[in-house]
Amino acid sequence: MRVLVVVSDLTIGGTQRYLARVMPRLISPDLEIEVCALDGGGPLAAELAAAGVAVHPTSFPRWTSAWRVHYVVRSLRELSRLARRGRFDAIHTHLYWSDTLGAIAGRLARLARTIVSRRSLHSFRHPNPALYHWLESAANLAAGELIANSQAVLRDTVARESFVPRRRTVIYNGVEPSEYTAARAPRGGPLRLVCVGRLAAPKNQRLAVEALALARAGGCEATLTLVGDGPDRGAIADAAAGLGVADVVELAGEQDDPRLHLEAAHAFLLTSEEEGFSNALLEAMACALPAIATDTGGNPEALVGGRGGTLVPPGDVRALARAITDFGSRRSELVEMGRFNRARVESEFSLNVSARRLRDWYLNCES
Amino acid sequence: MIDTLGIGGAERYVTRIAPLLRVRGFELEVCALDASGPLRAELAAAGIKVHSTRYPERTRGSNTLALVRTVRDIAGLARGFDAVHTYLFWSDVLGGLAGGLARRRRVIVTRRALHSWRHPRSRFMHALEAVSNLAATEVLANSQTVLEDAARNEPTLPRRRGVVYPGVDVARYRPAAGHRRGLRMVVVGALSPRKGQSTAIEALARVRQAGKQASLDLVGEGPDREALQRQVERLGLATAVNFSGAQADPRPHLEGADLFLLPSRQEGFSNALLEAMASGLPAVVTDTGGNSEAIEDGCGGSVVASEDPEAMASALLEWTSSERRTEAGRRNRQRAAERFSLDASAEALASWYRSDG
Repeated sequence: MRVLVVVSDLTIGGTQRYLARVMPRLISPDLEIEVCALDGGGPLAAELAAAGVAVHPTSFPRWTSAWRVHYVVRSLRELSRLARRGRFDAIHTHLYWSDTLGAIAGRLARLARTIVSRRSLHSFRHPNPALYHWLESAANLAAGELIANSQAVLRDTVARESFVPRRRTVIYNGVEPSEYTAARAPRGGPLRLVCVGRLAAPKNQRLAVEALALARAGGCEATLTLVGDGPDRGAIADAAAGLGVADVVELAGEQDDPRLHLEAAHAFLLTSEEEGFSNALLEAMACALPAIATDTGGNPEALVGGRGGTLVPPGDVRALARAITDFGSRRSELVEMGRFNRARVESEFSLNVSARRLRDWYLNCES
Repeated sequence: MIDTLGIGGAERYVTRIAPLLRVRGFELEVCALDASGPLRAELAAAGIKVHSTRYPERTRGSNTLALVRTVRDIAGLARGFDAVHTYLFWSDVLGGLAGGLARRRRVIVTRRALHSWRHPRSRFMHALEAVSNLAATEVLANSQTVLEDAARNEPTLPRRRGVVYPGVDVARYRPAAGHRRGLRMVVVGALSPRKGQSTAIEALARVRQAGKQASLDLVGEGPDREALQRQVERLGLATAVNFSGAQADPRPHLEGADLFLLPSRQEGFSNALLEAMASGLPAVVTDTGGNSEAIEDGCGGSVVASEDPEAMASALLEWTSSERRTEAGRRNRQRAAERFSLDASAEALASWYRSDG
């Protein structure tokens, strides 16, 4: 079986990183994988090539603002020629442009199977204009199968799109557990909380700062580290100052490797308003951290409330403050919750598990 | 929850509204940070149970340990209730936090003054207010203006917001008789910069320069008395301005007047103005806080810019006709009875309590 995996680009991003790491694990005598990056590839192309996965470019530009119809048509033709001449059995596409062009190209090339992906909530995937939406629906007509990275994303896709393919499954993202070591923050001292994510409205870190202030006012000694940068940085710093917690909120900025901050924490916080499936949460769980996460999107699929941490309603500062206070008063149980999370990552959310499920789907169309 | 049971606008309001809420079916108890004031007896006489805390006023704000202890105390008390409703700054802060800590379903904080007058401008106070807002579930203001001001100045203000106007017991006030000749004006309020009496004196001088017979009665006492007296002498108004001092009952002064003057620089919602309306007086008020919500400009009096004696004087000169004053006073009294009665306030508060967020 030959699968052509298509992705819009191979710059640094969650999906790209996932593909670069999971694809080499799929290769076996009965399954051949080649990758096509619409824009010709980025830093991860080299990583894939080194792992023995062929990477093909197309002449699709690293598109910026304007629609360039001739680029779209040319890429479509190149992609469909690649699919046909490479005698692929299936095409599997990722990210908006590859999902739309790839699905249509796969149909033009008369491949036996055309698989599209959904890896984030609809509201995050593309700007709103009707044209984007229309092209997506048209591509759905061409697709035969759909793989989402969480039940939440699948539900969202079915609710918001037209002509969603009937054959659907969920294959979760994975992290490599051996790359993460269990957090080892000192037992005593204040409760150290960490948040990892872009400082932007959908992640709502401001809520974390407010809840921290409220929990501290109730006598819970806790500190917060925010890893990441973004447009909300100023507002978050102002909120911390206004609430008198500036000295216990650390804005650590963008970090190439969040592991250092995860390993130094007692618990992970995820305050998103909406979430498809959070890789940051998986990484924290791999570091054996207990977590407090909003009960939205894919969060409750990853985090088992009560066993690995607490799920709170999104946007509810009082509930979040209570959860933090609760963590603060049950310090000894946090270690056990962290262990539960780590075990759950190993059994459900490791790269190997993800690769195995993908392989099963390619070969048997079931996982 | 309220800070004290001394004589003050919020304290009086709570004392009078509590029995009215009880007859509307609410079980209600009052907790004051310091419950030793004169209104305690009034509440007790109405059968309202009063609690106190062991938080001494003089250390307020300077003793963090005492703050935390008080919050814990109040939280313990709050566990016996469905809702906590707080009045005045320290109760809003400590009671709000306590309500949140005790996980009460409803924690209502109140805004009764413009933000810049609520508490000293310190980062600590601001942070305390901001954090306690997070513990609250809703906020009630005593006027639309105060609510908008709070929303502008407090980023963490609860999203559930409403306005409940204070109220006056109209039956306790007799309509002023009014005089045909001359204009007798009255100002009721502490003699302090916030209340702006100097603007009223300045305006009086201009009205008299315009050839109208007018006098001013200042009811209230305060730190500005000497400065105001000097101003009166400088303007040669000694015979036209009477300093009546603090009065437990302002009604005789209202009944003897032709027009109520409210020259405040800052106001939340003036109880004195409501009393004047209940006394059937027209009112010339400055455009601050809820003044313009109480007085219909042109019908019940005039609304003028604050700290502008010129504008105030020209507004006063529009009210020299006693027929026009009588008509405006009648409208004000009717408006007070319909929109700003104690019963209307109790009903509004009761329906807010009943509504489920």
